[in-house]
Parts: sequence; C-alpha cells; structure tokens
Amino acid sequence: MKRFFWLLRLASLNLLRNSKRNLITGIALASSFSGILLFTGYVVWVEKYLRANTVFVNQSGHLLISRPNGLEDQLTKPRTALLKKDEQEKIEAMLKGDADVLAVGKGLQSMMMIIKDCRSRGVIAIGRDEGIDRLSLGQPDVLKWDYELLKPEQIPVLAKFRQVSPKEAAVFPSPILQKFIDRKTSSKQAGCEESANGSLQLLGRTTTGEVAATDGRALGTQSTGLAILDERVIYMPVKDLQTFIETDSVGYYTVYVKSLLALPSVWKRLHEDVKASGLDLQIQPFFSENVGLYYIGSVGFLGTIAAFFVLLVSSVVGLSLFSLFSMSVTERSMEIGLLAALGFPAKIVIWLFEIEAVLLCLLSLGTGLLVAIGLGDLIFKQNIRFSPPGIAGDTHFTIAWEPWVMVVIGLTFLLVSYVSIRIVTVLKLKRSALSLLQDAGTL
Amino acid sequence: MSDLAIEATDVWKSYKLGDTKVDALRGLSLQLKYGELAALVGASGSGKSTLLNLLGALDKPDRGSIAINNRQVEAMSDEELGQLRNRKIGFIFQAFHLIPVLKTRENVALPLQLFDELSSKDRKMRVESALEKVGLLDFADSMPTRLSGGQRQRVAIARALVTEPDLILADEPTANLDSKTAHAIIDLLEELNSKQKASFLISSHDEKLIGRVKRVLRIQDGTIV
Amino acid sequence: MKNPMTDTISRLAIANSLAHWRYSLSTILIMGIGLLSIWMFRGYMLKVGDLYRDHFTVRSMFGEILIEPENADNDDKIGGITGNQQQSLQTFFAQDADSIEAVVRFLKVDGQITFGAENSLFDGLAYDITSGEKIRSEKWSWNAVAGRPLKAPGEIVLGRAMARLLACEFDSEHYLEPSDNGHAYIAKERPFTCGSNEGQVSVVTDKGQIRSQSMKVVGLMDVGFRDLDRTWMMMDIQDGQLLLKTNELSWISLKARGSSVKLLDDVRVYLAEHRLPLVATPWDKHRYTDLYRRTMGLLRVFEVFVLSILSGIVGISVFNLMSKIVSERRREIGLLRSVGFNSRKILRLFLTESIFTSILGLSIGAAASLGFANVANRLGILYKAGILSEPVPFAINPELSLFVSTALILGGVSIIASLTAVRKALRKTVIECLM
Repeated sequence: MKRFFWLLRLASLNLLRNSKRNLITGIALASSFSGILLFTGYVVWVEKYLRANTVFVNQSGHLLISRPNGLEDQLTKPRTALLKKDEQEKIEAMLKGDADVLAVGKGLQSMMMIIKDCRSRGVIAIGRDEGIDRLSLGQPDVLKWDYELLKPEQIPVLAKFRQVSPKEAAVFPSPILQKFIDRKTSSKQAGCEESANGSLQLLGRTTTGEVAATDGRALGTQSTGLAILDERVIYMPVKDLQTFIETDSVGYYTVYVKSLLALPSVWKRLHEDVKASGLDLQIQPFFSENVGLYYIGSVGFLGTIAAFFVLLVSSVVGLSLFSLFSMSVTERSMEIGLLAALGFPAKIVIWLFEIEAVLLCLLSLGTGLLVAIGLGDLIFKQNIRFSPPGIAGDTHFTIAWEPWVMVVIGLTFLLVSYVSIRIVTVLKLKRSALSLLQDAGTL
Repeated sequence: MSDLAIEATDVWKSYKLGDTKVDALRGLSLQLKYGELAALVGASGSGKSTLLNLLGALDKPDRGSIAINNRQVEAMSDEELGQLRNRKIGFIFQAFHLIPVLKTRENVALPLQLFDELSSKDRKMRVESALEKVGLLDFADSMPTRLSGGQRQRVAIARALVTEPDLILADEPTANLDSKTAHAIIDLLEELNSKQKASFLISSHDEKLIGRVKRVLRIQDGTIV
Repeated sequence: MKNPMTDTISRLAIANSLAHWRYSLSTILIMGIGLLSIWMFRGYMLKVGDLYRDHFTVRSMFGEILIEPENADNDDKIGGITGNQQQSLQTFFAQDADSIEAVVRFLKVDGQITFGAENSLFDGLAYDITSGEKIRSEKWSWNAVAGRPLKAPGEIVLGRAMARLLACEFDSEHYLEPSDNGHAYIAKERPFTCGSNEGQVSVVTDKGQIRSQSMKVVGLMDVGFRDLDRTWMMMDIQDGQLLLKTNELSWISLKARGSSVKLLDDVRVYLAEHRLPLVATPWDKHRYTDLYRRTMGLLRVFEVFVLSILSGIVGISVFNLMSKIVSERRREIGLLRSVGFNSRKILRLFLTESIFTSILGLSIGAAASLGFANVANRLGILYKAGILSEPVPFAINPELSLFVSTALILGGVSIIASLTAVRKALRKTVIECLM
C-alpha cells in the first residue's frame, strides 16, 4: 500500500513534468469523452422518451397480455381474438397481490371510419384505460420525458362530457386527425351540411360483424408521440369502445411494474401462472417488435450509430495515447534504466507508468464528464425545439444521462489508456537497464 | 569464505558498433577485497565503463566469470541481479541520473523503496545519515535542478550509500565537474571508504586526479596491465 | 527557373521524415486512422441516406418529382388533378419526353375490403402498373413478398400485415437477397393462401355513394413501415378511378432521365405559364418524406459532431508530436539558422515534412478504409434502421467526395497544428537553439 502511494505520488509529479503536453492530451481526451457522452446522451433521451411513450402514454404497459397474435387479430377477428369476462377475471387474479406490479390496465383496439360532413377516414381506435391515464400523469418517467404529451385537463373534461352526453362516444383524435375534423368540406353535395364543431360519426363493425354506428365528439387531441401513428389513430375510453363494438371483452391487458429491475421476475411469474391456468395467452414486453416497434427500431438504430462512433473515437484516442505514451516513456528511458539499475523489478516500473496513464485518463474523464453535464444542462435551458425522426411534431431537445452508459464508455477509455501504456512500457523494458541508461531519450 | 568482494576471471565482452564488432574486454581478470579502495584508470575507449557495468551486474560477460560477494553473476536470473544491485551494490553514474521531479531526500531514498522490512522511521534515519555523510543534509528538501554539479554528484553518492552496500562502483564520477569539485569528490569517496566497510572501485581517465589512491588498476585494450 | 532552395528544402524534408521515421510513423498512423474513422462514419451516414432514398424514390415509386394540387395537404377531396389538368400535363410530358424516363399516376383510395367473414379497412394507392414497374427499376420491379406484383386491372396486392389480419398465410422468410441498397426481393412467385382469392373492395365516392368491386388478390407486399402495412392495398389506376367514379388523380410522379433539377424547373415554368393550380415538389422536400428529412438532418448533426471531435484529436496529436520533434531538433534548427536559413525557410521545411507525412498517412488511411468498407459490406450484418420494417445490412458507401473533403480537413488541421508547434520554437534565438 505504501508503495502504491509512493508510485501514485511519483506518477502525479511526472504528469506535472510535461504539463503542457499532458494538458493538451488531457483536453483531447476530455473533449472526446464529453462528445461521446453528449452523443450517447441524445440516444439515452430517445430511449427514455420512447420507453415512457410506449409504456405509459400509449398504454402498452411493461408487459402486454393477449391471445397469441391477439394484438393484431382484434382488429379483424374480434370474436375470437378478444379476452372474455371469465378470462379477464383469471388474468386479474394472477396479477392481484403481486408486490412488484404497480397497476394493471385494459386495452382494446378496433378499426372504424370517422365521418365528418360526408368526409370519411379509416382509423384505428385505441381504447384507453382511464385509470392508467391518471397513473401516467404521476409517473416520474412520463413527467420528465413525455410531459408535452400529457393532457391532465382531459380527465375532468371527460367526466363532464359523460354527465352531459352519456350516449355519445368520447373521442380524442391525434392532432393530424383533429385537423381533418376541423377542416371545412371543399365539396358541397346534397345532404352534406357542416355539423357542429367536434361532432362526428363513427362507423365500424361489432364483434358479431354487424354494422356499428354512433355519434361521437372530439373532446381534445391526444398524440401518440409518433408521426406515422398520428396519421391513423384516435383514442377513446375503453368503455366507450366496448359499447361501440357491443362487447364486454377486452383486447389485452397491460401490466405496469414498479421498477424495471423487477420486470424479469414479474414476467417469469406471470408466464408460470398463465401456463398453470391453461389459458392460451401471449405475454410480450414493451421492447418486443409487436408492441414497441418504434422503441426497438429507433433505439436499435441509434444504438448502432453510437456504438460505431464510440469504436472509431476510441481507436483514434487509443492511437493518440499510444503515441503520447511512447514519447513520454522514451524521454524517460534513462530514468527507467536507473530504476532497473537500482534493482526495481520490471513490474514496478510498469505500474508507475500505468498509474500515470490511468491518472491522466481519470482526470480527463472527470473533466469531460463535468463539461458534458454542464453543456447538457445549458442545452436544456435553451429550450431548443427540434423534430427527431418519427416523432410527432417537435419536442424539447434534451440530453439525458444513464450512469451505466457513462461508466461503460469511461471504462472503454480507461482500457484503451491502460493497454496503450502497457504495450509501450513492456516493449521498452525488454531492453537492458544498461541500454536504457545510455538512451538519449529521443525517438 | 573468500575475502574478495569482486573476483573477475578471464572476462570477455564485446559489442557491435554498426557492422563492426568491438572487443571491449579481452580476458580481463581482477580481484578486489572487502573494504578495499581501488582506482580504475584508462584512456577513453579502454573498457572502463564496460568493466564497471559488468561488475555492477548491469550486464553479463560473453565469456569468463564474475563473482560478486561470492555469487556468480552469469548464473543469476534478472530478478536475482536486480536484488543484488539493490542490496549489495551502490552505483555512482557519471551523469548523476537524478530524478528531476523528486527532492534530494527522495532521490536518496529511491533504492530503499524496495526495502519492505524497513519502517518509515528507519528509512528516514538512513537517508539523513547518508546526506550527512556527503554534507548535504541542509539540502534535503531541495530539487535537483537547484543544485550545482558537485552537489548533484554528492546526492548520487548518498543514494549509493543509503542501502549500506558491500560494493560501491563509481563510473567517472568527476567527468562532468570542474577540477576543484572533482578533487573534493574524490576526497569524499576516500573518506567514505575509510568509514564504511564497503569496497570502492572508482574509474577515471584522469591519472592526476586519482593518482593518490593506493591501488590503481590500469586498463588498456580490454585488459588490466 | 527552378529555385534550388526549394529543391534543397524538399530533399531535406523528405530525408528528415525518413530519418526520424518513428515520429513520421506516429503521424502517419494518426492521420491514417483519423481518415479511416471519419471517412467510414460519413460513408455509413451516406449509406443510410441511400437506403432511405432508395426506399422513397424507387421502391415507393415517388420518383424525383411529385406534381399535385396546391392545397393537397389541406384538402380531403378525392383526386385533385382534374382531367383537363392531366391533358395539359400530357402535352408537357410529350414535349419534354427526352428528359423524362417515367411518369406514374397515383390516386389515393381508401375504403373497406371483405374476404368472406374477414374484413378490414384499407388505405392505399391506385397507380400506373407499367410505368410504376419502370420507376421501380430492376431492383424493385418484383416487389411482392408472396404471390406476384400487379400486372393488370382487376388485381390487388395487399400489405403483408393486412394479409395477416385477413387470415392469409405465407412464408415470411426466404424472400430477400442482398443487393446494393439493402435487400431486394427474390423474383419468384412464392405461394400464399387467403380465405378466398377474391375480395370485395368497397369505397365511398366524393358524392357519398358506396361502390364495390370484386378484385383478385395476386400478391402481398411490404410497404416498408408496419403501421402502413396493416391497411395497405394497391391496384391499377383504372380500377381506382372506376371505383371512385372519377377521372382525377392525387398526384403524378416523375423520374428524370438526366438532371432532375432541370426537369423540376421546366415543370414549374410550365405550370406557371399555363396557370395550373398545381405544385411540383422534389421528392426530398415533400411532406411524405418528412421522415427522410428528419433522419438526414439528425445524421448531419452527428456527422459534424464526429468530424469535429476526431479532427480535434488528430490535430492535438499532431501538435504534440510536432512539438516534440521540434524540441529534439532544436540544435538542427539552430544550425540551419546559423548558416543562413531564415524562419520562413525553416517553416517551409517543417511544413514540407508535415505535408509529406500527411499525404503518406492519408494514402495509407485511404487504402485501409477501402479495405475496411469492403469487409464491412461483405459481412452482411443486419440491423434495424429505425422504423423500416425490414432489417437492413450494415454497409458503408466510401464515396470519393467524402474522402476528398475529409482528407482536406484532416490535412488542413495537421498543417495548422504543425505550423503552430514550429512557430513557437522559432521564437528562440539561434544561440538558445544551439545550446
């Protein structure tokens, strides 16, 4: 231990010796680290945004329980794809009392047409669980990353609407579809008169295949958060959708866990319970393609780019460090020779340089981290609006931090530094103490 | 047990200078007793430094044998040689070879970093004792860059003494010093020899400087004449 | 007349570079790796752009120019380009036939399709089958995952996801083969079965009339995005117009034979001269390709980021190396100055050395990059590129213009770094250098 502190002190003094060169190298390291953190910080933000969006805003839950292929089949084969009352009771019983489960929601989807003044549009209606809506409003992830998508005012609006118009279906179209609803019809034909603002007709099929039609009212917009979905999605309370298609069945259950770390165990327990119950059900996590296509696609894509970027930067940084360390070690050939001449075993000499390299790296990483956090904070405060691919509208440009990502990148840099210095010193120490003592210290 | 600190027998050592092979030592033999002070004199290129490097276990002979403290150098591993240099031999270099970022006392204490059995207190005592012997105790906390050539060489001498070695080898310790300082260094080495139990072998190309040393070994063309 | 000093300096520079080969090697390696990293990253970004471009302009048949009504994005009217407007445009197409490779007419169609007990809403396009195949080029001419592409009126192809909804069955693998831009379909009729091969397609016309037609499903396709796929259908333009009881079109796509910029100008001039209430938009500025623009915008930001960071590291490394070289050759500099070389000549000497090693480094980097790209492109690593429904191969497009710009940037950074290091050393006096 004493020797370690002695080596640490000598390493620190040696760092100060070539202070200018080490400072410049440190700046390069710090900038690279900072740059990578900011880059991955964007990817982390996308991941958090889309995760909160997928799980809470779009109510896919952390786990989604349906019949096999039920998520898609409910659109065209509701009679066989929906979960009946007795099945619902069994599912609810499985999840009741699970300490890791935060909430359980119900979901339902159906194809229909919305008709406004003789103009029609085919849409997918997604039934929203009102309880989950209320839950989402208090979720830290949603409040932090998807707050612009939250519409807390819709809860009292819906309650009031129910009192005033109990027979009309409540509809929350996406902003794009709201424009469709608000547009004045361009062609005037007989029987097509402009109806009141917000009122529309819904036309679809019941679970038995009969025509379903009802009046509806757009009470406010709800974006899915994703541009491509916003073109074709309206939201309705699950109850209203059930009434429309004349069923008490649901398309799926959504399970929300208290912590992501608990997800694997909840999933496992649920899987065992489902197996034991004999029900033919499929349990899918939010990061499966069927449930979270945009999540997995976007994060996968950005993750690939980020990994490529980290690899390239690490290579260039590694080579720069190798060159710097070669210079430092060569300059101090005489010193290395002296230590060897005084009897210091090779491993101690190598430790000395390794400590120096790691120290330089740690100081640079620390600085880079502070700079990145500072810049991230500054960027956030600027309230820059931007439109990331696939996201509906624009959003507040944010950098987010995930400790494990920072640690992995930091360790990569440390590893690169360590490997560089080790190669240089081991190669140098292949020479005898005598030849090192006689070395002029130039390349 | 032999009373010889060094016994070199028929030592050959050559090295390459470009494409040419140079025989630095040709069948050299010498003996040095414990506690003895000897001077190694020869012209530039006579093989003095090569010999000292071999005797200091910094290198191994091509042929022949060298025994230091009754141990054959040729048979030792690198680790054993390192331990030998650390514990038994003190080497004073022509170019001093002080580490510029360490203070005087830290430079002197350098070899003691491998003495795990010594407490910090004991180390401190040894360092201060060594510095006192060379008259630099007041400069214990100075940086080498602030010392004169003569003072730096004294620090190097103190470093060589601090491990209480059996053998001290000085390779042209006065080459980079003015004549007055050079004489002072030689006087110091003689004085230390009379007080320490260690053997001293000092090399120089200046006969006048070390002419007064009792035993003078002349080296010429790689052998002792 | 050649300046002998220039010759001397050049020879001295090259000799020095070779003599101090360790430093030169370090500089060469840093430049080489720097070039490889930046060029390959930019090449990858370019490839991603190529993939999206291929998807929109070729596979989705947008072509290079879209002609549509002025207020198309704000109007739900069926069609929009009237018969008279189409006639007028035909005149232009005939006049400018040399500049136009293909013209594809499109009509948006939505409604409901029923297969026996199964039914679904659909959202699709009616288009010119023959010219559509032309615009899709050889790579995408076969655009059916199962069955075959459209050949004649009376036929429809369904989106793959919609086909599943309607209980159609097909082999969902083994239909892709690698090609230049992502994958392409193997041109072979793969079997599929739906409940019935004929579907009843129903639409609502502009006048509120419901019209139906029985149509044969000949194939299944992937439109590229799963959520579009769920409701996707394509048919011949005649069928669409017949069903919707209209002769109008939603838009017309043009593929240029030569410069699309010139063609766009010509179209716009024509539209203005004939006062047609239509707009011509290049594909990459159209609202349908918003995803492409946003993706490319983001990738451009990434590119600038990467370029800045990597150039910075290279510059700093070269500066460090050069500072060391100059410090070690201080006496040499002193000697040169003492025999009459002025600061400018010494700067030129080091600059020549720097250029020489940079060129070597960039050349080696270029060779390594081409090798890297070749290997990467052959590996066939598949990954999900955003929200495209099919995975795409990880590939790099090592375009020459990217190499040139990257080399110029890195070369410039290296030269500036070198000169900065040398200038600092030249502030010393001759005696200080010689000591």
